Amino acid sequence: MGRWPISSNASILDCNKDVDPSPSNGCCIAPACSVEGSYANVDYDDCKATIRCYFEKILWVFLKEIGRRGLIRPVPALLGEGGSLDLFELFMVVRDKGGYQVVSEKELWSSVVLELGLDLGLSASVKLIYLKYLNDLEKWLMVRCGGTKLENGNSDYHYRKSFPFLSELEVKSKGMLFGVLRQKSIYDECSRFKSNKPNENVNVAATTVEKEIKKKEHDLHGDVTPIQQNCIDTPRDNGETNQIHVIEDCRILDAVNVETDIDSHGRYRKSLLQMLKWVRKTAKHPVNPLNGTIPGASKWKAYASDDALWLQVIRAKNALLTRKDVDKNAEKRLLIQKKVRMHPSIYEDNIDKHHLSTERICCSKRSNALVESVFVTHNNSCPIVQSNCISSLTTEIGKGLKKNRALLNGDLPSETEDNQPNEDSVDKPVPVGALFQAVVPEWTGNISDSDSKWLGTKSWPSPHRNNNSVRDRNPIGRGRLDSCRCQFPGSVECFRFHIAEARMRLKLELGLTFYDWRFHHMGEETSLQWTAEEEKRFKELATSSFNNQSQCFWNHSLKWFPLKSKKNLISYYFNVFLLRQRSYQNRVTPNSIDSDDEDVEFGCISGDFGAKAMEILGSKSVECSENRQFTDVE
Amino acid sequence: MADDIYGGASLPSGPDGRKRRVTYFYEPTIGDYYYGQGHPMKPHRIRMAHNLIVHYGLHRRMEINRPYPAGTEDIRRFHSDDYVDFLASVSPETLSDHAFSRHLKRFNVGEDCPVFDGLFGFCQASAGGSIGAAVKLNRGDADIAINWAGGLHHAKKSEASGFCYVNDIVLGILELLKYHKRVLYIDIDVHHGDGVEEAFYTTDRVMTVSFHKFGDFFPGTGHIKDVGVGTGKNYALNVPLNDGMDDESFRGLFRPLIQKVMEVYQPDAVVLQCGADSLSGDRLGCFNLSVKGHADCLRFLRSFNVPLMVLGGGGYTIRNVARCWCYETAVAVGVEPDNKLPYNEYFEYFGPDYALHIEPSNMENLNSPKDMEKIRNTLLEQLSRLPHAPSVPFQMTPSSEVPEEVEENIERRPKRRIWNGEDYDSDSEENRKRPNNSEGPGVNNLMRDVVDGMEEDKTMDHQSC
Repeated sequence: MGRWPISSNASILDCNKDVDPSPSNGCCIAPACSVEGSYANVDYDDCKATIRCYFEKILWVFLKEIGRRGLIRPVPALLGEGGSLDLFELFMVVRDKGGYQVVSEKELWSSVVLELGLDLGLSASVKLIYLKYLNDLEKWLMVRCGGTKLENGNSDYHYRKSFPFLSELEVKSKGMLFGVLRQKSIYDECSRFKSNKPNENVNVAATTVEKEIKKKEHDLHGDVTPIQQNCIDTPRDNGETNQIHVIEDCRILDAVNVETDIDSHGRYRKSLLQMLKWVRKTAKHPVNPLNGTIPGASKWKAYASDDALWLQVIRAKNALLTRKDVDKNAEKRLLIQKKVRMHPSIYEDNIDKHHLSTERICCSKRSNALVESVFVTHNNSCPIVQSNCISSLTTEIGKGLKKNRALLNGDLPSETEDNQPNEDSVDKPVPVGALFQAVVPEWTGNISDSDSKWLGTKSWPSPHRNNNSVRDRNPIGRGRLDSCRCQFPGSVECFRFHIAEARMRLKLELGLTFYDWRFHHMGEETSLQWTAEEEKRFKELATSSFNNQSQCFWNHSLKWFPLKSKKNLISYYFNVFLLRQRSYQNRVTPNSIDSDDEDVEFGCISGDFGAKAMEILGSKSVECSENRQFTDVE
Repeated sequence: MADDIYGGASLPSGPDGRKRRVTYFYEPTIGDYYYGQGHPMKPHRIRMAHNLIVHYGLHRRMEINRPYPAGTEDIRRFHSDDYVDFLASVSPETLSDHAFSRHLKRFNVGEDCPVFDGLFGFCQASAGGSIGAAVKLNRGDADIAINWAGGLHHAKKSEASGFCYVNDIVLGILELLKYHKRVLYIDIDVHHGDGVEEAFYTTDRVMTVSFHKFGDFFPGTGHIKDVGVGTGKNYALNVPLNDGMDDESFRGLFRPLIQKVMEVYQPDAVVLQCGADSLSGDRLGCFNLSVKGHADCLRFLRSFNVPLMVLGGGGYTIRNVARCWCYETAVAVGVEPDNKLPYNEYFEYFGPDYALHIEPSNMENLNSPKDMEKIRNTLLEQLSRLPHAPSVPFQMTPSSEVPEEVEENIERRPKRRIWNGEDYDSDSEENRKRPNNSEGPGVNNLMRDVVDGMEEDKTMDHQSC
């Protein structure tokens, strides 16, 4: 078996555009394999790394897919004592031994563990991980590969021997990804990398892919794609941690690729990934001379913009710092001033979840800001391990960099403070333009008449009749009298009596205007249109649904009161229900009164409150009703 | 002198100088609009305020009108066509229609600004009231026009924001601009009046002054350095404040700044947005103003006797909103109401004290006197960059402005020509104030009184420095 069996198949070179599997080898799906052809003498490690890369990609897609179904599989996979397991290696080993079923049946897990260089005691964990992470993938690959079985013997484990399958895997996966995941850019980058000397190869395949590659060409010029770098680096690097890098990088790459504007940001993303990699490497091996040294800050400006990763890192840091400050503020603002940004959910009210479509949820600036600040939090606190952090981190850095592109591309910011003083005004500048300002005509001195319709309908002085006599009796601005002759001054009963008095007087004075202004729909008298039974039901409903915060009270209550309009219900709520709540609070919990938080105050209701009053109300007129409960309280 | 008082375009205030002819717009159904469960904006508060006003008998000193609902065409005078069409046609039932749902994000409708039953009717009433108030002032029918349903200062040209859909203030000011060369807008809502500022950011025909909490606060605009652009440069004034603003500190900024603004800008009409969320104990606000401190702004502006439109705005502790707007209505009509609330339908809302005025809390005032002075000086400096109005050169120091501390002063106060009111005159600024100079002696006499009256103010300033 040759080193690169596929490469020997010359026809592959010509079948670039053939997306269907060629019957001859069953694997020539993607143009990349033709490129592979020109790579007959490529380094063995590189090949393995390339395959690894594709494997990781497939795995990522796979995990994402099952993640969607609710099965979260964090990457990297962690073994019992906290060490991470190289899934690729594991997959290779198990695969080599005939797959999960074979290994399990033959009880080969201990040898798998040994081959992985792990402690024998971990075999159960390894098996579990395989089962959780890779078993489905294996089955799926089997299907995708048309049931291709490994021919290699278990005993003679060798990478080369597994290559036929792996190449197949690679090709298949690439084909799949190509079709399924819109990952052209990665794809092209990879193929471009592999074919970076022979443009002729690409030319041979005069396909759309070729065009794309060409399009990418200048983008790639001088840049090493992240995949390339990983593919090359990983095998050479020591230890398994680097393998995680690959996973991460691939993941990041994928995450980024999911973003829509792939092309426009391709280049900048690539350098970004390189930069991230450099940061990770440096963090893990701080004293490694290969990482290079960073000159003193004074010399930074002397460096050209693109040459050194560390320089990019510093720029990114500055850019992100600037942004972080802004975002911190935003975040704090959100936390502290939630209440100002005015969404019902923020007030911990019950919202009708169905009522709020997702689109609505996304449509306020606040939500976006919140999402962004969440990213920032991750960015600040989360080492690049957690799977979801990776993509969000990348996204965030991307955003941050995008916003601070000027900083990145241009000179280093001499000092971040530069941005501080104007931060606020820069943060939210007042937009100027025809889309924002009102059209203010020049002052000419010519007056255009206003339409007298705007004067509206005069309702006072009353168009109905004159009531001078009453006016004289009640001085303007007069409050209530100090004392009254009620048996229990200050009781609910006393107040109701005086309120009724005041209404009577007002009715006399206003005449029909009383109704024009809808005074007859104000206050507790509104409840006269309600039966005692209805009032009781309303109270129960309100108490339970506001307390549970489970559903929209109004929609719910509409079902319960089919004869009442929503307007009726709301009117009752403000004019009667809330008033009685307040009445209760004034007497029982005068130190915690609240007329505004609809959820809180319902918790204050005692079980009995209002019930008696309502019974009485239902039978007698408002002004005569007596609330014994409140009398008792006092 | 009598000619001077009533001559020109100065407002005739009737034989009794302390009185102002007040028109008040009230839509009786306004209290039935409901933003949604748990939403802090409650139009019900306007009904509560009206109820208090009437029970105090204040309506007898006013003309009360039911506003004519503003139509889509009227609202389009500021707002963009598609936005108005959207507002006019959307309803909770049609919300999920694709035609609407795709617009929600664009117009920022959905969260802070939900689609509720009768949304457009609410906007129409609010805008109709403010436009009506402007027309009232334009026609000279009133000295003060009040619309508590207005003051929705966050709404943008094509975007709802902060509970505001239609910017009735901008529409009202546009109406005022038909008759008045310059309009001053003052905003004492705890939130920045961003919608109005933005609408008139590039013009010098409207000067916007906003006193607001700034820093980690909605809407995030209103930096002291945002001063307007182009022709409008320096015609936007922002007073960024911190938590715990109390009566004294507020007054120590408001009076000297507005004083200077009136003097320098000489508006022909003034619009005051009285957002009540700057009151102590507001559910969303963070200032510590008492009702009296809040109303002091209106009292001060009223003393200038310039056509004045008084609008509502924010205010989310509804019992205090009703208190505040009731009291301010009383200030407008020149009545000092009893602190003991009259019995009224919503009496229990005002327990357990059932009083008109509220005590400020003991929260810390984070506005140090030093900060206040710095802000004041910065803004006074900005104001000094404005082309000085020609009438002012005659020897008036800022402190000689007339405060309305004592009603008696008003009796004797001539119509101070802060604005000349030559509305119909397109002459240059130079000519505008000439009549003022001719009334020199009378004014000077008055100035003396006024200076005496200002002593109290001055001391306060020093204290707060």
